[in-house]
Amino acid sequence: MKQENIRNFSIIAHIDHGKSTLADRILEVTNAITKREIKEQMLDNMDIERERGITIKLNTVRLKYNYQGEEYMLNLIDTPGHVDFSYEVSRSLAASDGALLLVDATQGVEAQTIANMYLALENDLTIIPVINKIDLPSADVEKTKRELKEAFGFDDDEILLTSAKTGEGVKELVEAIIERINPPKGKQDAPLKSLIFDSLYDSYRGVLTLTRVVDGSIKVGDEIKFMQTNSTYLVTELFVYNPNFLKVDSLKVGEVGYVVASIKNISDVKVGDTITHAFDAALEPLPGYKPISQVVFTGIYPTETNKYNDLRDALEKLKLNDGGFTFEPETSEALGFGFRCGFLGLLHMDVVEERLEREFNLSLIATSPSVIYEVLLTSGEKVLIDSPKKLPDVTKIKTISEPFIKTNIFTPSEYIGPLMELCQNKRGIYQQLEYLTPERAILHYDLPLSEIVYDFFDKLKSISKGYASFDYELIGYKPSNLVKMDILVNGVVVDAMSTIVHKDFAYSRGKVVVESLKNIIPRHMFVVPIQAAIGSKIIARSDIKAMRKDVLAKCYGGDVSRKKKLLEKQKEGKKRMKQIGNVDIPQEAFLTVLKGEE
Amino acid sequence: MSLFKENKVNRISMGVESTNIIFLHFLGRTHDFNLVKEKINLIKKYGINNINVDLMYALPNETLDDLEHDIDNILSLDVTHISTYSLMIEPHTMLDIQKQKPIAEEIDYDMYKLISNKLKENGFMHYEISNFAKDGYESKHNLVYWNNEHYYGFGLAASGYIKNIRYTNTTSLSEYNKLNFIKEKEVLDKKDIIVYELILGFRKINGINKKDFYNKYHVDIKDLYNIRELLENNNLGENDINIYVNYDKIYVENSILINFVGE
Repeated sequence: MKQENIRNFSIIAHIDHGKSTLADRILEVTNAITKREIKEQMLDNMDIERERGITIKLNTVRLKYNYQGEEYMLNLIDTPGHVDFSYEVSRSLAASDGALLLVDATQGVEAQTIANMYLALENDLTIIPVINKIDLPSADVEKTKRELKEAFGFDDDEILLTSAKTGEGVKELVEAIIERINPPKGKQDAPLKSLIFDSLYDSYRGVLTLTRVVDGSIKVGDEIKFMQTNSTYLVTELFVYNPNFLKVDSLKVGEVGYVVASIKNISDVKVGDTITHAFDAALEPLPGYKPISQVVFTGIYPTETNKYNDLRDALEKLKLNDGGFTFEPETSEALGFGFRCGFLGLLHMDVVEERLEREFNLSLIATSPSVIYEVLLTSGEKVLIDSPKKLPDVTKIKTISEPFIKTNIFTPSEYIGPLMELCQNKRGIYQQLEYLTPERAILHYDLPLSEIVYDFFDKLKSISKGYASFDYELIGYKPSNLVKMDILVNGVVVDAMSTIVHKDFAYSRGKVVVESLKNIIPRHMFVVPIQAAIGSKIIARSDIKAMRKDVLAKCYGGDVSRKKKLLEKQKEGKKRMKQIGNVDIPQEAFLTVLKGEE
Repeated sequence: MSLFKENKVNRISMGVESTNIIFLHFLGRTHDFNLVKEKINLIKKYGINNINVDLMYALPNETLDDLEHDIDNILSLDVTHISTYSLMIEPHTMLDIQKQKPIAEEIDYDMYKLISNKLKENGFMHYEISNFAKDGYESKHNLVYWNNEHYYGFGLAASGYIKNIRYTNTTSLSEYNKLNFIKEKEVLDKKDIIVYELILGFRKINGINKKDFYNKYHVDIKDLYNIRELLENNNLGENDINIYVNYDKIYVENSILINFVGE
């Protein structure tokens, strides 16, 4: 394929704006697959993937399209994992030359639309604005156009209209991709530079590295080097996905495909790294993309302690196509052996936890998330703390600083008042209010990150009936009056439930937590006190009354076997709980501490 | 009644459930307490004096006073056996569909205490979690179950326990007519039989006879599971003859019994 006939593009959108449906429809328009086959194909692949223990998701697809007598190769670079997630989006964007900015005509521009748009601009991509779902009765194309023009300065005639559902406008969209997006710029005769932007694990082939060739080319039999880890391998196979795995002999400038090189050592492959040749190596690696740092930390533990090794394997495999999280072993008196995991944000945390449970069939307990605190000791030394457990003794602490974020909250105007109140309650500092249109505004607040770690997102959604969206970025550290709050169950400190809270909020938070724990921990044969404490001072207490009734009242001939089964079921339920002291604590209790409704 | 008499029926059990017309209506029963009195007298007239009545309690909105009134009415019938059940709202039943909520655990427990105190004061023995009898009138067929002894099950949905097999018959008449009686079967090994012995035997207020247990299974009951620990922390109690669930723990007995099941 001629280099000037290659187009690499991604689709960026706020969640639920129709990205997957549009991708399917583009596959159909380019005859990669019929409508009927899309489903069958995806299911087949998922079965294979499941058998081999690799992740289940849509792959980057190579498509062919004839336009004005020329054949074009279109690489649709799917956003791995969760679309509502800037780090992962940025990986796809780094491998693309253009992006479709998809906006739902019934919803308009949302926080993630803007965040993704800025990412795309940072990557120098050509943007094609697309208004989707125009077939819906509630679609407001004119208003959405206005928002696109207002927010990004697009012209009327740049904006395409589609319905991924009916297929309207999709052919025009594919042609716009060819007309507007630039072909890849790299040099065919330069030393190889190829960006790793995703990878999969296959128990038979080892690591499959998804890469985009920027300069030079990769051939089967080449000896390649990963520049960051300095490891070398022999390329045994190359694949493209169209959407079947198709073997190819080489990948040239601008092409996207999978490199197989019998890589069994997962840690050799880092998403964001550059592949070059072992001999005639490139001098400099590609810039990769935005350096990443973890901002939210949580302990992740297997519900059953004998699943520790399974959890470690799962984390290693996930890490393969998600360079964004970190993990290191951690032990908890309450939960046993697990891992302290760092994430790029809350959504990232949710996604990783969900993938661990869904794709690796693990049952997990996650402890309250924590941010990184900067603790200045009386000795003048500064330490970073990512877990309440690691907080030094109070007498040694001079100040504790916490990370602050700048948030952009997108909301219909009528919710501005209640949302401001929410931000104030979360120790927010008002910055600015901007109107996008008379009906939609952007509210800017600075907030302590730890406050949105709890229930900010849920509250935002419930206050605005689901219409507000937000994104945030870290702006730095400020000292705060913070203390560690412990939770005692039946007199025993449950280390996994400790949190760092603002002193002014400790009493109210403590009360909320003990009350909600009271409702979630089952009654026992004795009274179970639940207490919140700062140091040795109890700040809140609530008692779970002793169980009064737990009996199979009626048990006769016909019932006997069934009653035994009921007891067995009850026993199973008990086993799923964590026993701390002599109290059975259900998994949700750990989440309750995390989410504590007020 | 004369047919019963001719065929040597010597015990009759009546599902009285409540003596309060409002609660009877709630339970979908069409009788009232006058009818109950009339029929009990009729039974007695035929010379059958071994009579059981069922009493339900913990009905939604029921108060302790309501219950006490029921108990007094039932005592006035002068029967020999009373079975009492706290209402359980099972999934997919009418009450569940109507979204009826069970009564608070505390009230349920207070009602249980009221029943056992009042019936004991009036000459009944509390001999099984939910059953009370005048001396010598314990339910013989029910004791077969609680003593983990064998029995046949005849008819649709009946259960039986013969040799080491517990079985339940089909609920389908057409299957039954084709002589395909048994729908479910549980084949027990010695360990399973002991589990049943424990979870059934501990339903009896006097519990399990230690010597009989040893003669049956050739193992000291106290060596099983965590029974010693349960004795130590006063969940179980013992005397020279029996080992039993302590009386104040009877109503939370599942928490003790789950030690013997699973795995």
